[in-house]
Order: sequence, then C-alpha cells, then structure tokens
Amino acid sequence: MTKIEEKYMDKYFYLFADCIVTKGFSRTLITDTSRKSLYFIDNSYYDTLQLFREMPVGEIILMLEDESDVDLFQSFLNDLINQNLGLFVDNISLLPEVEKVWDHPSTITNGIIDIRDELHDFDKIFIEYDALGCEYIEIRSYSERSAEDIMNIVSRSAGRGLKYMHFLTKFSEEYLAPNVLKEITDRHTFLHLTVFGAPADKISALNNFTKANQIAFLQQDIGSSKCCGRISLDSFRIQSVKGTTENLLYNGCLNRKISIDERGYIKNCPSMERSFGHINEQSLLSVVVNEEFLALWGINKSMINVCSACEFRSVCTDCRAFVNTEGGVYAKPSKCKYDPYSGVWG
Amino acid sequence: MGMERIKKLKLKNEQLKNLPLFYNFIIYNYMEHGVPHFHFNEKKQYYINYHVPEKFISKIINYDED
Repeated sequence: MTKIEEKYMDKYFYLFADCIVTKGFSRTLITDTSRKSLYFIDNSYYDTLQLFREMPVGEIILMLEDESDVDLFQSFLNDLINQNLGLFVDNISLLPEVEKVWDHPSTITNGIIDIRDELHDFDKIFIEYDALGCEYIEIRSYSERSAEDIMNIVSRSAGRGLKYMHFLTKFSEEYLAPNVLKEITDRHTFLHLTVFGAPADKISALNNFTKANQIAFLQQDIGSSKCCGRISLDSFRIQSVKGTTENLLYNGCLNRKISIDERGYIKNCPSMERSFGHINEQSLLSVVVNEEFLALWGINKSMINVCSACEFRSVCTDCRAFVNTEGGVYAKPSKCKYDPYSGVWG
Repeated sequence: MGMERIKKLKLKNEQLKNLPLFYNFIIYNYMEHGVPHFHFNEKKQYYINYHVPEKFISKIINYDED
C-alpha cells in the first residue's frame, strides 16, 4: 500500500462537490454525478468523509488510535484519488459544498398522458402543458395505434416549448413496413418511440433498422398503468447535481409532474386512484394550485419507511402509486425488491 | 441561421487537476444526449435546445427485460 506523502499532511482532502455521499443502513454510496459512476464504501468511512471538510489529513490520522486504522485510512484516501473523486487542497473553504436547494422556472417539468382506444383532446392538453412550462412528456398507448394517429398526436405539440417526447405504443403489423415510423421521428426530431409487445423473432431485425432513428422495439407487454413503478438497479439513472439534488429534496417521480390517465382523469400519476377532475371539464392550471395535489411533490425518500435507510436515495426516483399496505403515504414502494438492511436485491 | 456550437473549455492539464469536475460538465452532458439540437421556435421567438431528460419520465418499462 502507498503511504500518503508527508507533504500532504497539512492539506485538506477535497471530495469533489459533484460527488454526492448518501449513507444507508448497511453501506454508504458515493454518486459521481459527472462521471456517472457509483462507489460503495463501508459506513465507517462516512464520518471520515465529514471530517475532511473540518481538518487537514494529518490531524485526522492523529485521531486514529490503531496502526491498522491508519493503514486503512491511507488506503481509502488512495482509492479516492485513484478514482478521481477528489484531491488535496490548501484551503478547503475556497471550495464550498453545493448548496442543497432546488427550484425550476416551470410549474410543471414533466407529464404522462395515457391513452387506450379513445383519444383525448390533445390540442387543449398541449396548450395547457405549455402554459405550465412543461419540457418532457411521455404518451403511453395501451392499444395498437396507426402511424397516422401517432403523427397526428405528436404534430399537435408543434410550436410548443417541449424539449422531448417519449411515445410508447403497442406493436402493430403496420410498423413492419420500412420507414413507416422513421417518417415520424424524421419529422419530429425531439421524439423517441418505444414499441412494446413486438414479436420475438423480429425484434433483432427491427432494432437493427431503427436504432439510429430514435425508435426501439421491446418484446415485453405493457397492458396498463398498473405495469408502472418498477424499481431495480437498471431503472436508476445518475443525474447531474441539479437532478440529484431535486431527487433528494423532493419526490423523484412526482415533483413538478401532472398526468392524465387513459379515461381522461387528471392525476399526479396515471397509476394512482385519486383524481382531480376530468381534462374535458377541468384545466391543468386549476389543478396545480390544489394543495392535496401538491402534497406528494414534497415526499422525499428520507421521509419514507425503509427508503430512509437506503443508500440509493440519490439515484432512485421512488414510486408513490404502488406502496406496501402498511405505512400509509410514507410506505416503501411495493415494486422495489431491495432490502437496505441486508444490502441485497430480492 | 446557425447557432454557435458549445465548445469544450480549453484547460491545461494543471488546471484540470485543480478544478472541480463540473467545470467541464456542460460538454459531458452535451455528448451524452445523443442527438440534441437547437431549433428556432417561431411562436415563442427563442431557440429551444431539444434533449432527452435526465431521468425516466415513468418506470413502466421493465429495464431488467428485453
């Protein structure tokens, strides 16, 4: 093991401000939000990380009683440096931590619109989402949709402030024809199309043809909004400091979201029971001032049973629609199979 | 009308060692987003930078399966 050189003893160790540390019950997670990497460390190092901002490296070493602890500490420091998670600095006060605040100029940043057989009034819907400053929309069709239908729906968002639209739809034989979907994504370059329920024997060929065209084919079937809320390691995405801060302070899924279910009812999330009126009778603008609607935005994982002990709090976006029967509004998501007390995925 | 492309900051190796990583953050995100692009919105009279969101809008796709 390489010992820390004497010249660094009076220096501070600076863990880069974009590396977010989350302590769980069984281990601690360092989320490198720029390199998009996760590092697990033992909880015993969590307190050491806090000391880095208070005293130079040499002083921390003097606090360690056992020679073996000193060796482990030096090894830990070497690991942090080798992984480019920090460096030695003279004056750590010149490198403050990122302030833990989050805000956004839009009232609504994202939304989900479910459809099945009947279509909603998309002209009205897109006007209202736009008035709220919405940037990202996901449309999910649980029934087969013609390419013409998709084009019509997406075209109605033209001229709005949307930055991205994800359109999920059930597989249709019509999509096997070359370029039928590509024409839509060519015309609407902010659109990504996901087609589910595609035949297993055609998936490979379809994806080879479409992968450069913002179109993906999946074999899995998605029957309704009841399929939502899956939490697994693969459902996590490492966001920027901004997104990670929002995720830690607010509800990662529902904050600044408004949705419309397949029957046209306005909800926080289409999978939820509670509705705030029908889109044909109520405006989205009138719902986003309803205190009951807004209440879920502020439920972060530190408030949720079990999740408060989970080290994945920085990357998990939670689910309030499907929760364990015990624990009420603060119950653990029922579709999460991770046990933070043992550190094992079920 | 073209929009000037975002350029990577020109930093010497010594500067790179001493600056927090997020000084170069903008270029990392730019590269990750696949095909982000600017487009002038006639109605709104401003440029929109189209890009995918940082997080999944919903968790309806089972990412453990194909």
